[in-house]
Amino acid sequence: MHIANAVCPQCKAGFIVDQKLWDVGTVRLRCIACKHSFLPPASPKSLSVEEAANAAVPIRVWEIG
Amino acid sequence: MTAASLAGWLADPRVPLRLVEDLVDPAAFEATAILEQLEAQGAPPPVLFPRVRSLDGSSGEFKLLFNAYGALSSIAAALGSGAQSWPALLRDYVKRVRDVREPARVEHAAVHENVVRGSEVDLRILPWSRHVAGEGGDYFTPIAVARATSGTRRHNLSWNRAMFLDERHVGVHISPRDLWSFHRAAEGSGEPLPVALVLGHHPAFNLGAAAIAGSAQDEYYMAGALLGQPVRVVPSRSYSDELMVPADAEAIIEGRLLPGTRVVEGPFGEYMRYLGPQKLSHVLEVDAITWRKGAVIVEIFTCHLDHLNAHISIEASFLDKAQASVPQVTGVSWFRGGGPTTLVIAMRKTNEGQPMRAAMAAMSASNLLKQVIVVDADIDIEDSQQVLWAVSTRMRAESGLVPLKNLPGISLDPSGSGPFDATSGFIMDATWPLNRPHPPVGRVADALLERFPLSRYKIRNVR
Repeated sequence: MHIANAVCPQCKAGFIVDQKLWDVGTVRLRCIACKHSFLPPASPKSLSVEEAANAAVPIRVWEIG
Repeated sequence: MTAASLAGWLADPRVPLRLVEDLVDPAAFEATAILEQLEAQGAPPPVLFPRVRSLDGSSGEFKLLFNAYGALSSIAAALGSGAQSWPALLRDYVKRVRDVREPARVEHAAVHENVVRGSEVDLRILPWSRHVAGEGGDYFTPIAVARATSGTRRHNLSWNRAMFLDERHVGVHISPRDLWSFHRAAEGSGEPLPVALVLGHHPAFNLGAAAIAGSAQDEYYMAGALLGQPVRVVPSRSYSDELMVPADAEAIIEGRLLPGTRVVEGPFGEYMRYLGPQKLSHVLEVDAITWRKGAVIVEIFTCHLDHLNAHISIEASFLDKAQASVPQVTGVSWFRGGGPTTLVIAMRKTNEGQPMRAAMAAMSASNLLKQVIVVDADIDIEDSQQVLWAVSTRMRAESGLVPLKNLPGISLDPSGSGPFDATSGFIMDATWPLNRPHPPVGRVADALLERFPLSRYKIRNVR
């Protein structure tokens, strides 16, 4: 399990995130407590969404609400 | 023959069913708070919640059932087995799953008694659950049914986590196995993949979804084997014959896994007893919800025994592989409560080397196993203290302990690392060596226990 620790900047709730998702850096994480969406700080932005999703086609990220 | 149904299993006197009469709100952890306290009392019984609040705040349309797999007797009843121990149940499972049965098509089904479609669909009418602290949303743990887009057009069954997104969308986490491959093929053509999320059925049907099947095997056949009769299937309401759905299900969500679309989903409690992380998952756009009158939705109590035991199909595959390689194997067992990555094998060894061969065969069944301990058949492999006693007294590490490096692991194992979740493990041969005598275990003879039974004596508690 390759994970990073995320902390919501709004409510300070902590939760775990897949390292690949973290490494994309342009996909907003979703707080488990207050539902606030935020970009992972200090992400290396070293992966594309497609690489993180192991997809062979361009990927659109569907945002809740 | 009466069709195998959840109601039939619930009526089985071997199923130690509990019923919570109060109205509970599963999305507020109310159901699982009750389950957590029941599990602290011992092997958890199936618990039926006949009055549950749906996500829209209403109550009464659906019921919830947890812990269908919490106790041995519940699973034994589902599989038509009289087994009194897990190793015996696994032996029965291995026999039963070989008797595959072709599904039987019907045109009318109880699961179509109620149907909402298209713009009328609102997933909030369902009683979504929160299971353990730290989960990222409201969830179901359904069986996903999909059909290959080419070749044999076989149906695949898989157990998935499904998170409520909005009135018509669900986030579905899919492991990179068959369903993932079906979707990838459809996605490559820019097409969505029709999928049915089965929200309740006879527990043996669900076990069929966890069975390890060959890549050409239609998994309705395997579910039929475990049910002991053909799975009755009916054309889905949204996709007709393109996707056949189980007629005796309690409730079904029909939808399409969208191509080129992912959503942030999770965290979610997993069967390793830890949370799995928030990640990118697939998006299901829902076309219909169908359900029978008084539908009972079967949920897994994640991170708990219900969740681990729901994987006995995998545990049974370890037995099948080990026995096929070494017939002297008499049983296998996970350490219950210790997680699924360590397996104990019991055997009546006739040649040195058999423990290693049996362990290697079991490990070949999946990426799950890291550690295998092999003991003699006199050891109760369900008793971790007995297993560790064998390790303490019968094993010499210089010959009996074989470290294994560079194993592919599974993403849910917190000890794994790297892009392939690389891990390591060992095989431990804790069987007696054959080339020298070993001492008898010291205990009072049974004949003397019968001659001097406790009931003959006045024994007083001093304090």
